Amino acid sequence: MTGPLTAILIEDATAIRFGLPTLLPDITFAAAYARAEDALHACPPADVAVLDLHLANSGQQDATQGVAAVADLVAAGYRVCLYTQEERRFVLAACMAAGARGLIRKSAPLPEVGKAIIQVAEGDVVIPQSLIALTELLVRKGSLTILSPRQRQVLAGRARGQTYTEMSRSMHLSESTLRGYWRDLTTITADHFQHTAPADIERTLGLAPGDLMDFWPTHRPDPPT
Amino acid sequence: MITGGTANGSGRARLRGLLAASTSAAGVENVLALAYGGARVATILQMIPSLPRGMKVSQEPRLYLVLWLLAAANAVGVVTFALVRRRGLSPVGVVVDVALCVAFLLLGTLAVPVPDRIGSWVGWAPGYALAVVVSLAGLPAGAWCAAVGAVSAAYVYFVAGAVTAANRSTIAGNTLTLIVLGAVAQVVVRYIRHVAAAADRAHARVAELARREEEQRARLTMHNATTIMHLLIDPALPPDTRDQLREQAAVEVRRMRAYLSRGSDTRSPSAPGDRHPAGPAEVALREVLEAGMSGFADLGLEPAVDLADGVMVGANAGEAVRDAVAGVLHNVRRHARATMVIVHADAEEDRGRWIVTIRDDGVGFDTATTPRGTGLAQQVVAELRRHRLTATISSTPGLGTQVTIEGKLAR
Repeated sequence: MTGPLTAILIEDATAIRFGLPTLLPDITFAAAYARAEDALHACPPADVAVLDLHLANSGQQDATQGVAAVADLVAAGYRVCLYTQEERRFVLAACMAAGARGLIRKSAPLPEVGKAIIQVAEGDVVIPQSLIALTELLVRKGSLTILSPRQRQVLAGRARGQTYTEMSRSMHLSESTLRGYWRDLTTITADHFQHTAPADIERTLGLAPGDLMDFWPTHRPDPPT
Repeated sequence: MITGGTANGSGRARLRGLLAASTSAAGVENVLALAYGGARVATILQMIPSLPRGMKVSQEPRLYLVLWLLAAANAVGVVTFALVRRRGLSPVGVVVDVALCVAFLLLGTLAVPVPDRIGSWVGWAPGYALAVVVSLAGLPAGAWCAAVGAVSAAYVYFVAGAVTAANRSTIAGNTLTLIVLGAVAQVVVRYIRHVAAAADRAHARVAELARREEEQRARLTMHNATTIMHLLIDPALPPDTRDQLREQAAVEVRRMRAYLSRGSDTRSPSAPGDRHPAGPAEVALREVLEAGMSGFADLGLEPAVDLADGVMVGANAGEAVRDAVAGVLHNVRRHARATMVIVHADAEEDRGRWIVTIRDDGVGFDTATTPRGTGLAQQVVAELRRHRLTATISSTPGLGTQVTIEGKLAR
C-alpha cells in the first residue's frame, strides 16, 4: 500500500462524524456519511470503511444499520471496521459473520482507535477482547479445530490479557513471530465466523436453536482480502 | 419425678457454681481445697463414734476432749477456708495446720492409753495425721519433706510406747503409708496442676487467635468500605463511576451493619455462596466470579468465565473467592489507572485444578519493593489460603498487574 491510508466514515452522530477525522490525522478520511445508503450510493474508493453499528435515530429512522449495513458495505468491496459501543459478544460475532474485519469500541483511547483502523485497512483482522474469549471457547469446544498448537498457546495468552513480551518470555519465541501467529489466528477466526452456520455455533455453545438467528446476517459476502 | 429432677438439677448447678473458676489452674486449686477439706470432714466423722469411749478410757479425759475439739475446729476451719477462699491454706496456715497435727500426736501420748494408739479410733491422731499429710501435696519439695518428716516423727513418737514384736511391722507400714501416700498425692496434684496450666495456655492461645481473627475480620470489613468512601469524596469522579460506587456502598453498609449486629457475619446479604443452615454446600465458580465483579463495570471489565462452566467450589471457598475478586477490583479502581480488566476462568481437567486470572493493563507496581496492603495481603492471599486456595500476584511497573487464584477441581 502506498500513500496515506484513506477511509470513509459512516456515523450518525454529527460531532463524531466531523471530529474523528480531525482527531486521527494519520488517516485520510475521503468522506463521511450519516447513512450507509449514502456511502453505498457515492461509493468513494477507500482502504477501509469505519462504520457505526447503530445508525437509526429520530432523524433517519429507516436507515440501514447493524449487520445489514456491514454486509452491504462488504459486498460493495470495503474492508469494514466497526466503531461502536456495542458489547454483546454474539452481536459482534454476527458482524464478523457479515464480513467485518475489525471491531473497536468508541470508549477506547484514540491511539488504539487509529491503530485498529490502520490495521484493518492493511488487511489485518482486529477483534475485541470479548470475541477473543469466545474464540477460545469455540476452540475448546471443538468448533474451531484448525489452529496449530502454537496458535492455541497465543490465543490462551491473549484471552488472559498477556502481553507479547510476557508470551515471548514464556514461549521462547520472538514477539514478531507471536504477532504473526496472532495475525493468522484472527484471520482464521474471522473466516470461521463467516463460514460457520449459526446453528452449528448454537449447538457447540449449548444455546437454544434460533438464539443467534435474530441478529445473524442473512447474506454473508466475502470481504476483500 | 419433676421435683426431684429439678432439685437434682439445681444441686448440680450449685456444684457447678461452687467449682466455677476463671482459669483451669484456679479451678484445680478450688477442687483441691474442697478435697482437702472433705478429707478432714471424713476424718472427724470417723472420730465421732470413738469419742465417748476415748473419754472413758483416757487417763486425761479433759485433755483428750480439748485435743479432739481442737482437731474438729481445725477441720471446720480448713473446710470453711476452702469454701470461702476457693483455695488451699496459705503458707502460714499450713505451718499452723502441721504444728497442730504434730501437737495432737505429741500431746496424744498424755491422753490416749497405750493399747489404743494402734488400730483404734480412740487414738485418732494418726488418722488425722494422714489427712493432713495428703493435704500437703501442693507444697514445694523442701517444705513438703520437712512437714511430712515432722508429722512422721511425731507419729513414731506417738506409737513408740506401744511397740511390741507383734505390731512392729504394722507401725512401720503405717509410717510408710504417711510418707508414700503423701508422695503419691503430691505427684498427682503436680500433674493435675501441669495439665491445668497447659489448658490455660491453650485457652490463652485460642483467645489470642480469636482476637486476631476478629481484628482481621474488622480490617476486611472496613477495607472495601474505606476504598469506596475514598473514591466517593473525589470531586472529579465520573458520574457513571459514582453510580457504581453508590451501589457498592449500599452493599458495604449492609455488610458493616451485619458485622456490628452479629459480629461474625460480614457477608453481603444477597450474594451467592451465602451460608445458611439449608444453603448449598457448593456454589458455581461462575456465579461466584460474577458476584465478585458486580458493580465494577466502570473498570472496563472483560469477563471470560465460560471455560469454568460447571466448576463447583465449596460455599465458604466461593465466598472467599468472591471477596478476593471484589478486593482486587477495588485495588484496580483505586491504584491501577487501568483501561481494561480481564477476569478469566478456566478448568484444567488434566491438571485437576481451576484457575482464575484477574489482569489489568494499569500502571503496575514493583512487587519487590511495594508492600501489600490489607486488600491484597489479607483479603486476597491470606483469606484464600485459609480455604486451601492459592493466590499469586505478579506485576511490572507500566505493564499492569495479574492476580492468579487456583483451586482443586472437585472429583
